[in-house]
Amino acid sequence: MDEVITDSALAAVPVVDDTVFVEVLDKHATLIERHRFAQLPLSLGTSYRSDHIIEAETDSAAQVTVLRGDDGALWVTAPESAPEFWAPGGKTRRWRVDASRSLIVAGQRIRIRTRDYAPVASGSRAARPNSLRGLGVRAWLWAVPLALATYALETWLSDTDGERTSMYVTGSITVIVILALWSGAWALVSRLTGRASHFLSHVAAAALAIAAVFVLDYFLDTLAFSFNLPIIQRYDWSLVSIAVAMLVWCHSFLIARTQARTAALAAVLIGGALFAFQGLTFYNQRGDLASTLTLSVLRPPALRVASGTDVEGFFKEAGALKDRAEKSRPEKPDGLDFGGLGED
Amino acid sequence: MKLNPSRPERVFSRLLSHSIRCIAALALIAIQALPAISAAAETAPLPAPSPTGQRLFDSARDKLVQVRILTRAGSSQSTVGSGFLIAPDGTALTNYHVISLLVLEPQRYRAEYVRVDGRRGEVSLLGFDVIHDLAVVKLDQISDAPHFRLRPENAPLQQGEKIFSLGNPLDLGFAISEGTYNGLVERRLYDTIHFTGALNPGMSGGPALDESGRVIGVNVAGTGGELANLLVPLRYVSALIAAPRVKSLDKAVIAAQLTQHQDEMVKALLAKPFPTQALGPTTVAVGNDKLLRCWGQSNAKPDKPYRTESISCNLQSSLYIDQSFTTGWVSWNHTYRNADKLGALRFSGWHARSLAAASVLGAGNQKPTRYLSRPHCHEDFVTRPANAVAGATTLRVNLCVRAHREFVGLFDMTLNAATVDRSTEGVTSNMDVRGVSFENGNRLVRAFMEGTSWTK
Repeated sequence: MDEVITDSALAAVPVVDDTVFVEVLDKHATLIERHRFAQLPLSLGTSYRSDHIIEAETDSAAQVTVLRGDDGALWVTAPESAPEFWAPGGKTRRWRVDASRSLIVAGQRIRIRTRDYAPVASGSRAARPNSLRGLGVRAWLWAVPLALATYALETWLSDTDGERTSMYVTGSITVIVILALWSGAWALVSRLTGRASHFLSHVAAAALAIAAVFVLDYFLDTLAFSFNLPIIQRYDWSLVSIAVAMLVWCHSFLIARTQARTAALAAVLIGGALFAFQGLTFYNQRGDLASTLTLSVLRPPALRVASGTDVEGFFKEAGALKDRAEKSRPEKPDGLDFGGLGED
Repeated sequence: MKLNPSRPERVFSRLLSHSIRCIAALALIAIQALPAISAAAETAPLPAPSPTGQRLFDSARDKLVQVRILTRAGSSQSTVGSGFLIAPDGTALTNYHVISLLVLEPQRYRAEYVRVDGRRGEVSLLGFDVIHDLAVVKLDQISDAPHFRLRPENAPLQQGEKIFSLGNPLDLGFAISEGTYNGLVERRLYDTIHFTGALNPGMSGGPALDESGRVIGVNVAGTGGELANLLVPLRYVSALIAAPRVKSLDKAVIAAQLTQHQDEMVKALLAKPFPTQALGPTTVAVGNDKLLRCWGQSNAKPDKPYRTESISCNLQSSLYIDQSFTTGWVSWNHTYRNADKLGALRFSGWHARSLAAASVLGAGNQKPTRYLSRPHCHEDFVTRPANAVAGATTLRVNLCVRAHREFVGLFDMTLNAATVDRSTEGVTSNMDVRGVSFENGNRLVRAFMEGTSWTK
């Protein structure tokens, strides 16, 4: 087997007619390894006779041969005894190499390219380096402390009985445990869909999401108070669902490198399920005054921008409540009996 | 027996002087005395029954009934109370709360009476008064029956006068309870007799008699205190008996009575400008002290970075509609908070959380029921300009309104307000008003809100 080379090294490779690059891909066509071979014919398989030993999960000793045909193009030929072979086009045992398409040899997805198709100029997703994955390795070092700091700040703001260290310690441990479990689950997904778990990248993403939700929630509450926008507080519970959906997409698409559609579906499903759960909970609590109160958040007077109305103005606007309350009178009082709305 | 206060001291000194000598003797005496005590307990005569009580109970036997509310489907007993005959044709009185299911769900419940001798029959409704918790019923299969006489209204009772309450407590059997008349209960919207004597569940609707056996009131409720119980005065009974009979005794009749009640309640509460009271550096509305009972609380602990003072007031009566629903009352509370050590950010969060918690736990927070719609709320900053008495005050105010489903035109209102113009001190106020017209509710809430202002 020849040496494994990197993208940067490719630029320095001199042009040789018979140079062939065999790219090992994961099942989503994400590039895992690239090998250069200088001579043809080339044999690929799982046995020691192969030029490139493919570490397939199945133990197929069969080899395929890559050679240049009379037409000058590269051809892949597989013997009838190679059961784990598949090439675009179906039940073929001889396939003309298409650098843009992958084939399966000995159960492993690969792609064959010549110097002409060297991936230097390639813009495909699989060929792009995973910048977030690289960033994640370092990012967790500051993202996790940031999440813990925002949690501590939130705790401090609501701790009016005097600081209790135990509350901060147990809370921080809880945050770390949740981070670990969540990231661990996503690392497992990464391992199943690709070839690496990227645990630290997942940790970094989740920690950043925790910090972002804390900060954004406080910011929105302040905004609602400052500008007298109760509607923000009425619906800001959905922020968590949106944040979780975005986080899931980030875990799935950017780190686990799943297909865009799969990532979007996961985000919509998980975020949507949370949204639906929260929505139903609020619907069920619609009689609860607490669910209608936005007084649950106040801020110091210096942060108030909106001017107040006078008593007269308040009761003038509150006059509309009579009609609204009377219109809701025929609603069914309990459960989710949407069909009963409008009946007495 | 009234205890002589000096007696325990004499016994104690005598015991001391003879203590050593008596140790052995006491043990012997105790052993010897045991059979004597138990023998004495067996043979000691019971306290002689009150001759008046005996006489009244004997003469009341044929005039008392137990009223039972039964399910139409299985004839299972759902509610039991008492009642008494006031006319030879079987007309009887009881409480509204005893027969409320007949009014609210006549298709599912029926009523029967049981007399002291075990005879029973059907009960039909002639009229009721939700406000004073009274009902007039007709007992079938009764004619030319002995009945109670009512004490004339121009013969008022004197405080301390002996009165007797009859009924069937806890479904155990008919009983008479002796007590005293202690005038009218203070701080009530409607007159209610303060009866000092035993009154147990099941006696509701039974008569309260003077020593000559005339009805002076109707048993209605316990107060939770020992032997402090309530009776409906006779004048409301007379009014109900005299009232014209209506054909259809349904929820519309209840709605009309509730509307009448809320008019009287709001009129009484707003008869004078809302009285205010100092609470820290603020004044807050406390209302008419002849109608409401208020309680205060102060919380300032050295280990806490804050201090609080609060006042809670509520109307001392409410109207019973059914087991899960009472209406026609108001309550409110104010809490002043000061927390210099917390700083502005933490104080504002704590200020709001405390108010939200009070709202959730407060009486105004109910799930939508068959009686109430869900709440609809309006929230805004409200600024009251400074005047000669009070400084300018800005509040965050949230007003929530629920409509009564069954009683059209009535609403429950909940007001939550918090001052937002000082960094580390503020007042939160919460008011719950039940069963009022929208206009009356607004008047009450507004008067309440206008009572809050800074004075320093």
